[in-house]
Amino acid sequence: MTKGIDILESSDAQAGSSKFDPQLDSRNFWGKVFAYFCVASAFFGLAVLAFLIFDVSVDGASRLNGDLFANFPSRRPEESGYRAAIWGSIWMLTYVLILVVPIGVSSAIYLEEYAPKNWFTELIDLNIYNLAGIPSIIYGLLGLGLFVQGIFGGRSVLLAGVLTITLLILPPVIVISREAIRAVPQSVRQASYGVGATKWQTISNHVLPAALPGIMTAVIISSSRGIGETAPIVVLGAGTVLFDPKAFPINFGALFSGRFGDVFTDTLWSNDNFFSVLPYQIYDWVGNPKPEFQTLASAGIIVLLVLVLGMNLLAIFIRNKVR
Amino acid sequence: MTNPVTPTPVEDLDLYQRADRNIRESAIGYALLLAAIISVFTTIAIVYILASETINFFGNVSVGEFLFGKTLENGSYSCNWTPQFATKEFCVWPTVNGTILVAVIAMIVATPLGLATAVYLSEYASPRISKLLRPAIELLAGVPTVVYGYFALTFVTPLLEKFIPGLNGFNALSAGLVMGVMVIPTIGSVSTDAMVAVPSALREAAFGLGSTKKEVSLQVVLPAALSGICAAIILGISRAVGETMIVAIAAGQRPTLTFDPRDTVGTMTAYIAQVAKGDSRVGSVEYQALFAVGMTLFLITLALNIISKTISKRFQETYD
Repeated sequence: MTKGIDILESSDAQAGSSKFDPQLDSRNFWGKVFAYFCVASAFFGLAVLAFLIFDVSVDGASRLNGDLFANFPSRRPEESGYRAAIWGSIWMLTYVLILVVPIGVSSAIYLEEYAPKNWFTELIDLNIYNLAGIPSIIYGLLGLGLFVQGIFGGRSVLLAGVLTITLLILPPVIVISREAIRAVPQSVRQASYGVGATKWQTISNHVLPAALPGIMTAVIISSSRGIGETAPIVVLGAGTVLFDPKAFPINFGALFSGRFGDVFTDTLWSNDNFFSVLPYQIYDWVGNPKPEFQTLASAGIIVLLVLVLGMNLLAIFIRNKVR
Repeated sequence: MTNPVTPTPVEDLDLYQRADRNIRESAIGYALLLAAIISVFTTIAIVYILASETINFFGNVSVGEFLFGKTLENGSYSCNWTPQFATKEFCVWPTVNGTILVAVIAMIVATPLGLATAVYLSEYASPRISKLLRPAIELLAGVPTVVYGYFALTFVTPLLEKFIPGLNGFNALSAGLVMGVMVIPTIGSVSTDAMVAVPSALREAAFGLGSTKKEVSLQVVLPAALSGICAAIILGISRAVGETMIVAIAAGQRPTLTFDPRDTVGTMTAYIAQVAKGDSRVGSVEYQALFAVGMTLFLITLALNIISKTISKRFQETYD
């Protein structure tokens, strides 16, 4: 039993003249250094994030008041606010969710439950993986060419932004939703088929409810990325906007007062429904040489971070609650 | 046997209802397929729009000038990217150069930190800490990039100016450093998955031979997970190359052929953002140049993503 230890402790080994020298002290020392380096690295990013939040809060706290939400952009920084941009972000998020949830979840269900194993399925699969890796600014060029120039006659309207961001976040929504659907045990499906349910009854009554938390996580995390995106919105040609976006698909005022010819004027579909979003307005003011606009930008960043990090925390909460 | 189930008489089954049901079932299948096909059309639309404008662009500018620059009238060679200047030149390398410079700086930061994070999460941290820390680190990838850009411009650059003489107000260094932080979760998350997948029998064998934890991590787990780690690093490069807002805000918008990190540079993405923000007439060569640069960027990131996927699939070590 002790033979091995005898060898280690023999005077030969300690003198280092033997072929085997365990060098325990130095190995343990470097092991410790390495461990500390790994811990430090793991927390480095978080430290940067914490400091970033602190730095931005110090810069922007003085402008974090009601005016920030109530005022439109202006040449004078003290009168400027994010009203149009915040409403633009809220309505964009709303319509993106309306589009992305059915399309994304349907695609995920198809690929997990229906798709036969053939070249076409593999093509869709590979295609979604590659789409997820395309830089967001390329989606901006897609939106510029296809939606702004192709459909809306060169006007960068709210719907063009909605469609562009929908296409942008569709791949991650599909990929994460698929994982959630795949994680539902096969026995659940077999039990449902066993009592005579059809495929769709099985999916809608059993698979989807079980996968719902995962799907919600997918949608929330992806759409938080979507509303934080600046680059594609810049490329679409959004500009500073001095009015609230027209958000409703029907002009209710016209509908109820009987002017049926005007039901679609001043609505979501109007071709002068220009829009701005929170990150775009921040970008616009970061680039302004006046320091007051930088303060304004940091106040906007606080709002944006609360929104985006809040959505992420909600997603993490849902995921952990279920596990 | 006290309560025998009486089988339903066959006559009770409404066969019409069953036929209805079958039609509905297959209709749902096709509707779902339709949704999945949208993603294929997205790709087709991206390629079509980039390609058609790029072809128009090459109707005005020669491929040779785009890729290799041109010889001026006075005989000197010139490679500049100045589509919106009075004397237009369309040599793409200055923008690619800027992209590479910033991405290299970002990867110098993100690769060691991302890998060390992955080693910590998979080898050192207790499952409880790991479960808490992973989503927290992934938050870093969720921070809007315009925020990172602001941080680089208003905090990191003034800080660096105290130590580095000759630093430009807009410079590749501060954009690259902050971009590195942004890329950490990409590298960390993918490599953690690869390291966790290494079977513990390998670790135990190494511990049994008297290895320290560091030796097991670096000499057993790391090589065993190498394909996943390479895939992670390439994916990180792809993220860095495609990132727009940090460079547009903090690195400047002047494409130059320089490898000095203190200089103002202009990346491909920053160029697209800058020109699109101004008004460029549809059909003008500046407008087409946007899509030509976009096409270049698209091909580079697509190639990186395909390489990453291939490495992680083909060279994956399988242990059974």
